[in-house]
Amino acid sequence: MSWTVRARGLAKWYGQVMALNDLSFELSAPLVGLLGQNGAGKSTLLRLMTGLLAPSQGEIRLEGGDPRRDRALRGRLGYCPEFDRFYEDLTPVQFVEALTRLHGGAAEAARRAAEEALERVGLQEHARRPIRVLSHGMRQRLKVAQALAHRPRFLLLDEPLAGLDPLGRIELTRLFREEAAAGCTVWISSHVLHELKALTDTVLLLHRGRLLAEGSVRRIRDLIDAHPHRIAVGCERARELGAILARFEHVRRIEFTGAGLVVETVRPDDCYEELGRLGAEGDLGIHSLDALDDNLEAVFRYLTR
Amino acid sequence: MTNTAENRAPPSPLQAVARIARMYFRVGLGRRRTLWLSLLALLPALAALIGRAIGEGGDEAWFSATAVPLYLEFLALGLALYLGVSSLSDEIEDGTIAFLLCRPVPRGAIAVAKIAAVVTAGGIGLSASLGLTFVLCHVPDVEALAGAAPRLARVLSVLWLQMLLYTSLFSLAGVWLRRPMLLSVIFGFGWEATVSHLPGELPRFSLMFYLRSLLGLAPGDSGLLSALVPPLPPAGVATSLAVILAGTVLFAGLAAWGVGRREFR
Repeated sequence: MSWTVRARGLAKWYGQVMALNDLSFELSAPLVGLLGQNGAGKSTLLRLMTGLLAPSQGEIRLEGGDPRRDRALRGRLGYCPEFDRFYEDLTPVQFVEALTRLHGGAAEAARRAAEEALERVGLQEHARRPIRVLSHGMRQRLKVAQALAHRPRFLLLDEPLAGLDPLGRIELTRLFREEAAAGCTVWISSHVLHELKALTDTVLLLHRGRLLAEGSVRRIRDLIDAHPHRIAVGCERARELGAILARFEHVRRIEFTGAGLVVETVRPDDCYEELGRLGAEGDLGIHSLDALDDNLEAVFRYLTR
Repeated sequence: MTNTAENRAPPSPLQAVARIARMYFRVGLGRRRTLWLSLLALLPALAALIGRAIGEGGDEAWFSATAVPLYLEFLALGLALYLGVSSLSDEIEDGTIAFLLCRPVPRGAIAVAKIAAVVTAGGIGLSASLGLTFVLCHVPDVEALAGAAPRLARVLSVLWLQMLLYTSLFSLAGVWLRRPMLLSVIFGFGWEATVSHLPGELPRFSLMFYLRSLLGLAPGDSGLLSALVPPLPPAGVATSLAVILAGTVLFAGLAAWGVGRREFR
């Protein structure tokens, strides 16, 4: 059964900066998407939910418990932070094992759990190399592995798909769905609606620290789809990819950049699907997909008007 | 029954400290700075070797008059300062502390574990270096070596106590201060290393005075100034131990409380 998250008048400010403002909601769903631009307050909300931050005002409860005070509750959470910092000289297996041991249990069990988690995120071949030599995508997977290894009941994932290659996105998306199907509540933040759409229909839309909308992803998607959508594609053979994309009817414009290209489309779903397929084939060296923030900007302008 | 987070008991506070300290120890061993600090800790042994080779210093008298104060007022102080401040403040600065704070461990255990790991690593390094210097200053006179062994044990004990006290203090600075390194250097090498040598009552207000007292070292003779204000005799062993242990508990406790209270973005 999904955990219930309840926020009442929740606010958080850092000095003069208001990160979250008067959030109230009660939500119980297996998979929830937190959608918003950079600076919308998604990470702050997740950090309040893990107890890393204390509310400046109001309260947040997970299954009735206060994550800041309740140690046992924290033991049932798995948190994947947004930042890209690690103990660089450890190996992934040492890193995940050491953190898993903090949830109790014997060293051998923690080692097995770490190896299993690394295998689930597809890092088993790199499990014994120092973290400092891992690529960005591998580091993203490692963050997910440390959140999963102790088998939490509630996963809080802060932009876990950011900067991943198409194959990595597909694999991790499948993994999050499996976790939710197995009874784990999963909250995942993103500034890309189409990422979330593949996972869930329940979304909290945040904008400048306020809760703008709560509920179905479909309505928000319709709004977004009415606006041209820009996707930055990191790619080794941008000219060839551009030539392929130019044939699609939904592609409005292609702009070449140093690291690849930016494609503007009116049917983002189709475009993501095509890029995913081309990325999985591997011929064009597509290594990252990023939805640019201005996609949501138009929708926010519409909703806040 | 599957081994989920739900049916596993979180570790006790002591287990948490041991597990986090073990992790930090492992992290520390892999760092390049550990190599540089180990080489720095071996400087007195190198000085003893050179002294023996050129026939100036490197003997028993040099060990007591030069090597011991060098360990006490420079190496152990510097090591505790650098490792104590950076161990927690680096982690707060780069955000990796979040990986630990979201686990079911008492937050204070993170600070205590860090102090324990630094004290253990620094203490082992200093003990090895001091032991080597001691042997170099006494060989080949085996009788003198054996006779001076109690003195070595005493100096070693004081160095471990010093690591404990200063690491706790500088870890506290790392948790609470915005620019902990600069202020700690000013306090460590400005106040602590200087004040304990002045005549008058002022040395009582430095921690170094009590550490030096355990080795029977009185504040030094400062010429004209000490003619006007008589130097303070060393504090008693009980007083010194009480101050050092109370200071350690207070500083480590405040550092642990700080990690529990503070928010880390």
